[in-house]
Amino acid sequence: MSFLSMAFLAALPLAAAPILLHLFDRRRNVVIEWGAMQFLMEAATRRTSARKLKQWLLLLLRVLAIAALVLSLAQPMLPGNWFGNVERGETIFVIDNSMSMSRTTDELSLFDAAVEHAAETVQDVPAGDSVRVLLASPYPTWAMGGSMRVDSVLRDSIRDELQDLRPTNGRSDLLSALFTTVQAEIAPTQHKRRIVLLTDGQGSDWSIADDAGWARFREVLRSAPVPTQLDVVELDKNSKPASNLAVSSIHASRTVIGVNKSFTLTAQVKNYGRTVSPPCSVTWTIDGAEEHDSSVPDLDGGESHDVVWKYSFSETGVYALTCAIDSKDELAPDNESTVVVEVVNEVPVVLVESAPDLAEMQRDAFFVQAALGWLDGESLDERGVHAPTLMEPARLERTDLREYRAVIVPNLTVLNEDVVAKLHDYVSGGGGLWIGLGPRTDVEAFNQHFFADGDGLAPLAIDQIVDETSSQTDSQGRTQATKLDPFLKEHPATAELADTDRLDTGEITVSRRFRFVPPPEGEDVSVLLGLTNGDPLAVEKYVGNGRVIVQSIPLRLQWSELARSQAFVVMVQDWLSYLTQPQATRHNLSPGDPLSVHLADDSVRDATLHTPYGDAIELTADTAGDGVVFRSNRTILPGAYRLELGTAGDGIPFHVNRDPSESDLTSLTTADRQLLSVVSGLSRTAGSTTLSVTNQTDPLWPMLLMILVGLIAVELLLSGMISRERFGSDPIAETTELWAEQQSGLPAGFGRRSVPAPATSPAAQRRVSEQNPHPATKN
Amino acid sequence: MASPTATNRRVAPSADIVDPRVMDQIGHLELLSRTVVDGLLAGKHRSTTKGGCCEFASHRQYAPGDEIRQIDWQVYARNDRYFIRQFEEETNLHGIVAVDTSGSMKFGLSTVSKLQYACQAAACLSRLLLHQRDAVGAFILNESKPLFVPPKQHAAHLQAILAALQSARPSDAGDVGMQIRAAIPRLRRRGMFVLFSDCFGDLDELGKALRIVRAKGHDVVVMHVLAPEEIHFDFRRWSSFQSLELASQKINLDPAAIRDEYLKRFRSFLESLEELVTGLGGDYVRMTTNHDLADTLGWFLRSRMARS
Repeated sequence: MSFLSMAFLAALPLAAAPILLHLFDRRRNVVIEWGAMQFLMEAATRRTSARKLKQWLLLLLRVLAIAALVLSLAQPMLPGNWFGNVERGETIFVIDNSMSMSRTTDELSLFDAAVEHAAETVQDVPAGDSVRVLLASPYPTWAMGGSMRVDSVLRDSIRDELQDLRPTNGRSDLLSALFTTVQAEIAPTQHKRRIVLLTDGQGSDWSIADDAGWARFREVLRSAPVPTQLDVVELDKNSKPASNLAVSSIHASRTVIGVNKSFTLTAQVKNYGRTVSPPCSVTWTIDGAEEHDSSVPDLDGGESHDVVWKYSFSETGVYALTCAIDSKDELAPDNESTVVVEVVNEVPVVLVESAPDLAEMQRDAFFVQAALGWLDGESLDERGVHAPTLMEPARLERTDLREYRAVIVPNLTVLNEDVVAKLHDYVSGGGGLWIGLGPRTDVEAFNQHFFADGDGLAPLAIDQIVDETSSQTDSQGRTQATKLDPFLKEHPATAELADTDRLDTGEITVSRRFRFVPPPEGEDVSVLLGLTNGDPLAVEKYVGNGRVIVQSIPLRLQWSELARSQAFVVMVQDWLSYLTQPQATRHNLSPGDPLSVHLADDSVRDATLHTPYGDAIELTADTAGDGVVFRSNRTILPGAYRLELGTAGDGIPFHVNRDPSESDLTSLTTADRQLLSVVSGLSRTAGSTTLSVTNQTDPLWPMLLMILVGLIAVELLLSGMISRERFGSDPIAETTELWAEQQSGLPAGFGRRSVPAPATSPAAQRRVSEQNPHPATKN
Repeated sequence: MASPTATNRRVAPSADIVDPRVMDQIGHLELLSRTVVDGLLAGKHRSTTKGGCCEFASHRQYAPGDEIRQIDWQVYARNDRYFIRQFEEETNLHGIVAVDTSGSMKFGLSTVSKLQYACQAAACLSRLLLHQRDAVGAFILNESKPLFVPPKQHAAHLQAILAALQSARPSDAGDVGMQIRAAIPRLRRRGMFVLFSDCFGDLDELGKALRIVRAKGHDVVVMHVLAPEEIHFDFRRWSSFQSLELASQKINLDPAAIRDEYLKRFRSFLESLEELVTGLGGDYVRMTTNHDLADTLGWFLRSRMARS
């Protein structure tokens, strides 16, 4: 026997308190001088043994009651099965409903096989036991409304509810699911638990790399409150590796696109099997309508192929573009992938020019305007989606920046503190800021206001202007110009710039620049563009919800050839797309990402979110600025979502991407199983079942508390009996007069008056009050 | 001539024992003998002699020698026979108040002691009897120092009785039956014998003594004086009971545990005593020290007057 709260045992001597009190009470008796001794002596010799027996029994009950209370507080535990094997148990089915369970083998999907197996097992569960079902994907969720007590009627009901379960397109975390089941609360009447895990044995679901997690699970399983048996049933009986061709991802060069602006869609088709996949066709559809066809060649095991499609939209709107392959593999749901793009007329940005009176080529803003397809405030035929509004620094302070998605300062001069603070608020709210340093940039003011010891908008402080014309020499002593290094780092904003086959990014020379103060040891700064000498040219920082890019050169040609290069136009478009992204609606989400839609029309107050499972979630708008915002976190399931606004039926598509690793159907290897066995204690037995039984202890204190209640009840009964024996006798008439009144039916107190207590000594009075709590006159 | 101090000493017992409030309530009542008594003077009680003036007793046939004036002519008119009318003569009473002073009479826990209560009751009855011109005497039943005050009629005799009652002190032990029997030879004329006692002890011996008293023609009244604790025995805690009569008798017990048994025996004792007294034609009056003496005596006198 063990105790959970051993300290309470120190109070066990309190059990002797009733005996001690009884003995103490006997010792402190008072002497009474008594006249009627003849009756007292006769009465004292009668029935003494029976009386003493009851008295000692009463004391024993009180001692046992206190002992039971103290012991129950100490929470004793007895070895498991100490009370026999008649106790009831609970069976928990953990069903892996990840996308990989959708694959079909032997004309039945693995998920259906799992449901069938669970239904058959329910038939064998003894009547009176409880059954629960936990779905592992996308996160552990109890199905069927919790625990159900098995009986003849409910068996069919449970079977029907199991048939209603469906797999998802998400991945499952079996370790979390097992944690949830082992740590689930159990009813006091249930004394054992059986966990049946039904899975396809897909390796990626097992989180093999999480050694610490499995070791912790082993401890939790060992310290489970009831004996727990774990059965793992692997439903995939095929010994040969599965073949699976999947559209693992789809990427759009931009997700916010201007009308009639072409953009590139890249779908990656990957063969997750080990054998060569046959060629197949690829179909692109927009909102369900087929738009384009292409093909994929045969792919070796593990090989992938990018399918590229360029497209442009002639009308604004939000469109879902799907790439589907015609493959006859085992897993159908991953044969397509979707991306959602938004087509807009323009995205307003602010362009700050501090010297508007200078010649065109001396104005840095001119180059940005030109790159965006604008000239002298007028748009050209081939303009980008970003519409710049040119303004001087002084006007910036008076402008409501919430109307713009980004602010570009191509040649930073001196900005006062209020403007810097305003820009800080603007970026924190999700706005984008692009700063180009120039000849009139005050180094000290920049470091003080923009860097602000790391708390400002700039990621790094700046040092000084350096001349790059003679800074580099090759091995033969020839001077080499410093150029842009497009391959310095992978970044979504510079992915297209790295395409040196199409662009001249690598040929752009930089002759003068500001040098950034390197970050302290151990700290890293996100670099967008670097130089061939290894120094950063453009760095970024996340401030609040927004992003800031600081470029160490202005655009004028005296400093670099960037503005005249071919890549400049792409760079401006890409960087502005990157900076304006936080304020744009995110239509492509990861599982669990919050969905948020901002609408300028505040008349729409209600919306309905339709999930991939067909559920309809009612949303209510929150007021935000001039418009309203709809938010939801119910995006855990991968697949297509649709937000319908009001009653008009307008729908905004969203897509939650699935995890590509779920397409990898590789089973647990023998090495993985051995590792699991070592780390978690799961031991593999014959067939596909693993078993682990923990020897647990049963709590004894509920029984002790019941005994305590019983002891108190018997004690009260016995006390009442003894009390009735002591004081239950009929009273004797005090006078003949009273006796006569009682005989004649007159009230007993008729004609009686009380006699005041005599003026005896105080000691006698005290003795009377101690001995006779109920004066005889009241009897 | 008595000094003022001596006078005070004589007056003081009366003030202590005879409660004026009690006398106010019972002063208008009379204590009448239920049996015929031998008195010398005319009084309220039936006499053993027949007179010709007071209360009609019976008729008897005329016999030669009877006085002609005693013939009931109305009976002669109806029956044509001569009958003589006989009348009872009423005389005064010789009352004896006997107070038991055994050790158990000392008991008094929440009230006055039983002896004190008994003395107060005896004093009040004595005064009442003297007031109605009866002769009153007193017995102080004591094992070592018994005291007897012979019955006298004059009012000043009250002081002697009260002094005797006042001097009564509880002894250690003593059987009240034996003491009554020892006192019987002093009861010369038929009268009323009023015993104030708790009657603890040998009930048979008490019975014998009272039968002798009754056989000598006395009207027997037993005033059974008890304390409320003796009747209810309502003690809760462990106690040590020390006998008031025998110093060596002491018992340590849980009173509540034996209460039932005690009350059973006590009730049986009370019933036996009452049966004993009423069986020999006497009056049994139970009085408890927590009750008003005026109420108890008033009830006794009223009920006795009603019966006679």
